[in-house]
Amino acid sequence: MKQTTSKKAERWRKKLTGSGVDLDMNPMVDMAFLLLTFFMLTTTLTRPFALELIMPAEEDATADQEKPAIKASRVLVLIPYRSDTVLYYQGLPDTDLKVLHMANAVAAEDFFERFKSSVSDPVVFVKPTDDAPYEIVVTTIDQLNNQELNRYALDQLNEAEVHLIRRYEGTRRS
Amino acid sequence: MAIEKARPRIVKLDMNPMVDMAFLLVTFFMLSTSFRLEEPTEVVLPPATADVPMPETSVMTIYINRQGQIFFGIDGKFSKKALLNHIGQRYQLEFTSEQVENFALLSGFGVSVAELPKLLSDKERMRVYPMKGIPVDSLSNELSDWIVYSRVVNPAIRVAVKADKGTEYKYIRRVINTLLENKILRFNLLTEKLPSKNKQ
Repeated sequence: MKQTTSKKAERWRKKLTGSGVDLDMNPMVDMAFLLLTFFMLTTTLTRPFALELIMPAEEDATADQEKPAIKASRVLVLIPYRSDTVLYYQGLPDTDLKVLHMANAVAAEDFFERFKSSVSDPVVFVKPTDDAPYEIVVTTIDQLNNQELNRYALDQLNEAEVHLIRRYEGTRRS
Repeated sequence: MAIEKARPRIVKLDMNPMVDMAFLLVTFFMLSTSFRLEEPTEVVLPPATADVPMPETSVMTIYINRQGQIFFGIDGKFSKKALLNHIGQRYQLEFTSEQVENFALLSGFGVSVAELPKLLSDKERMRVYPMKGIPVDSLSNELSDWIVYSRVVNPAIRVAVKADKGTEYKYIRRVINTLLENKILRFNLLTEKLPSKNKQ
């Protein structure tokens, strides 16, 4: 615009701007957008969210006798196993392990619904295997929270369960 | 007949509204931004539907990467300095004031206490130092000391476990057991928010 040097153009410009003083705003705009881009890219939009775990207090020796007995049928044991499979059994560890695919959200929800309606006051144990990926453990706990199965505990596999897993692996292989 | 005079064309674009808007956005981002901290190790969080945001202050973070290496971080410059002093006393190590300053600059670290002076003495190479993780063996569980003294420094501190989604659970269990041994029964597993499916 500044290159228009004819007198007519000059007159027109004066008419338009009033004073004839013409501030070049481009550098300022450049700067503004540069800052805008910088802040847009550095700002953290994805804040981490937290899954709160409250572990039961460790029972000391005195509490051993009065350990509350839970009826076996009320107990569900979930064993996070591979990236999308959770093994489970209900009751005593004398049946074969069954498989629950967590990736199939509808089936998983269905399973928990059925479990909730079949048992009053259910108790869930989550016992991940040593090499289970962390993701499936989190998914399982998250699912329990969503299903409002609030009585769950993170625990370690006992001998009978290790045996069951070995048997499950054996049947898969053959 | 009116003859249209050839007028020189001057295109005047009014940029003011655009500039106003740009500055408004700049101001917004400037005020709302909190800079992303450099993480001591790379961690991909597991997705979950949990929607409780993690508070950002007064938190100690235990990082567990895919290989199962453990890193530890605590927020706040003063807490960090106080924590290092406690650890120095515990392990009978003297840290120079320069090393303490350098420690306050780190968002997290993953070396054994014996290796700390070496890490902290070089400010420039601190961030590229090959960290192998904090030992959590039953013989020398240094993570336990870090946790204990962090609570001494700030009794109201919360614990966040930031583990990679592919980490094998046995590594996580070691950390959880360490927490339980120290009577920390309440802690947070950090997750990434999954877009919730509202079926209702």
